[in-house]
Amino acid sequence: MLDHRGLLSLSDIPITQLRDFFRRLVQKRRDSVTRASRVQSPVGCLAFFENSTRTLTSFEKAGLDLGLRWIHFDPSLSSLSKGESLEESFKSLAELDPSFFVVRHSEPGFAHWVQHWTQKPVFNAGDGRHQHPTQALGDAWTLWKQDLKSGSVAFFGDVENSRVARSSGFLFKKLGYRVSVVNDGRPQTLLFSKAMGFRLLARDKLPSQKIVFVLRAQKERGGHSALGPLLKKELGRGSYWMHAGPVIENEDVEWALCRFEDENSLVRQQVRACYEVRYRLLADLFEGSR
Amino acid sequence: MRRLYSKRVWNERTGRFEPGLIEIRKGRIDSIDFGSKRSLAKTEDLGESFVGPSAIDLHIHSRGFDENHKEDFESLEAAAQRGGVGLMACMANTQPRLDSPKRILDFLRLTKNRSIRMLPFAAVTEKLEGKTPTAWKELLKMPIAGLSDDGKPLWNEEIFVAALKATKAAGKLLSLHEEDLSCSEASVIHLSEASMRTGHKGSPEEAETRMVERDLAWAARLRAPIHLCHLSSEKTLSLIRRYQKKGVKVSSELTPHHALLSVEDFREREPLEWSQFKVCPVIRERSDREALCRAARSGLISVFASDHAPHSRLEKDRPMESAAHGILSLENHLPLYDLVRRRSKLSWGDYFRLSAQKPADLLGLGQEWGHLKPGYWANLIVFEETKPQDLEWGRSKSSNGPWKGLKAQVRMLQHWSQGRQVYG
Ligand SMILES: [Zn+2]
Ligand SMILES: [Zn+2]
Repeated sequence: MLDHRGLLSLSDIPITQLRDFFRRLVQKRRDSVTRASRVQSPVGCLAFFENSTRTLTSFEKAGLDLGLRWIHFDPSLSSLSKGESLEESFKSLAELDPSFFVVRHSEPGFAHWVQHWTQKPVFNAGDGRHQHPTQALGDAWTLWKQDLKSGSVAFFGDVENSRVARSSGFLFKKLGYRVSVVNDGRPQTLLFSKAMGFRLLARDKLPSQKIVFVLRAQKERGGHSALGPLLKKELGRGSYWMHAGPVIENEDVEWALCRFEDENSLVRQQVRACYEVRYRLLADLFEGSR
Repeated sequence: MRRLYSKRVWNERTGRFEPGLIEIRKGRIDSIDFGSKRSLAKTEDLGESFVGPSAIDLHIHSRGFDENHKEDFESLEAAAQRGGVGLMACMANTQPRLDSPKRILDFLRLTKNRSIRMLPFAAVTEKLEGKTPTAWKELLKMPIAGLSDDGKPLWNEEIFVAALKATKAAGKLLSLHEEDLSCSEASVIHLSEASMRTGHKGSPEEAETRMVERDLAWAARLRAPIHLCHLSSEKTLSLIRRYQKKGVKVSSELTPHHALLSVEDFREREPLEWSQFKVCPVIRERSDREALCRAARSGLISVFASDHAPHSRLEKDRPMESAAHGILSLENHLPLYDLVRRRSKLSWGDYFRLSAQKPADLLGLGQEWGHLKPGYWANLIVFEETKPQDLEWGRSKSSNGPWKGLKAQVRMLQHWSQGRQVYG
């Protein structure tokens, strides 16, 4: 799954590697990256340019459980605000010799540039509307854990502005799910479905879908949902709904669905699965050195 | 006096390369003896090399002044020498802007006595902000190519109309960057499957066509000639065709990047290369590219103009959204447009019309520039065909461009500018 560049994008990962990765996730090995008590454990650098608690804390916890240590690069406190270039900021950070980076930024391709500048492994924790690979792996792992290894997945909401729809949808399709996008009548949505090779689904066909993946309206990227909340009656019997969080109650899904413990909600499982994926990826990164 | 002999000298009258003996005197072509069998004594024998008129490029971002780190007038001159461009019209969006007679004089002072002629455009509005007109009356009496706010559209219709009247009266160009910013704001790439897949904000073709439509309507109403920069979309071409049929004089430009690349080329590139494709207007579909090339052949598009735009590494080597717009091309002007010629099946007659004759006419210099004919300035290029080889860069101070993978099929051997050999 990882190469010397870390995990920047999912586009080139062969399907066999994905299956192998999920197999190893099942094993639930306990790992530690510290070789011996006297040897200092590796340091990862978290550089988040966009608000995020979920992904940030998930990575952080996974690292701590492995015995990693973290440094935080806070862009708002950095010399960037004094006009230093991004390139120089990251090259300076790389001089401190952290073992790897976890980055989130609003621009597509950002993680690739950080990798290029620092020559360190980089985990892409979201680059604008482009990708969110560990979320996608976590979402796919959620389904595999439920033994939902095939079937239909429909994305519901502001797909155009969603990196989750792009990367999780891409991965679902790669794993053989029938992926569609709920038609909200907007030309952008049509173009998106064409570009990604997803089918366009009429809203009244939602009950036929095994999984409905609800997306948050990306207001910070000028997005909005033309569909309104997902209604309970739109979810078929024995179907599930997912959401990458945070769920905006009664805006993304109606009140009646906002009982996350209910059987048809996979939201909590996704949080857990994403953690497990990140734990495994970080462990894999140091496997060679153990 | 200098004498050049080649078996392949461009003969405008026959539309062929023919054996010819060129005599150059006082910077001008004194005579061309076509059919001349052999070179005389004291004649440089160029063998079978091609000889044709050098190019005139109406759209160059010179930089210089406060942006000497991107390109200065020396490197610009050196790039044009190798590219085979003998005269360039330079846009007003330098730092500081060419928005006053004093700034124009600064430009003229810095570019005087260079081996390549450089003509400035003066800004239409102060600081290119589109709000306050510059001193047009005074500026239009100076040796300038015309007025242009290129880089920015003239969104203020009142100012646009007044500028169109002023340039018409002065017989100078009004060079228009046509972009409706309300459609294209924050966009970095053509609105397409590629923009959707990579999560970039896309620019629809309406960003160009809406503005072009507004301006063509005014050109028709005022019976004023109009010049449109860097066309990008097929729909714009049908608008131009419609107005040309009504008798409106519309001239327009074809850049090498819009002629050679499409958004499909972008799709195959790695994220680290994305920003090299960022240019305004955006590079669109293959069907647009092909339509633009056909329009160059038919004469609907009038000139080759490169929109050469150097940018520093800091501005370009970064994620696409925050990278600068613009593509470098000047020093490979000949090999790039030669590729356009090959792919679009242009004749050499078409080629020299687009690269030299029409641009000279548009500048009002058609009596002395743009032709390989007696009485004209001796502006000529000598080149040969080669096996496909990598494009050579290094004369410009910058290196931004999406040209990786394109192969040159001609090589510049000599470039003569106003009777002086400046390359080779
Ligand atoms: Zn422009
Ligand atoms: Zn320009």
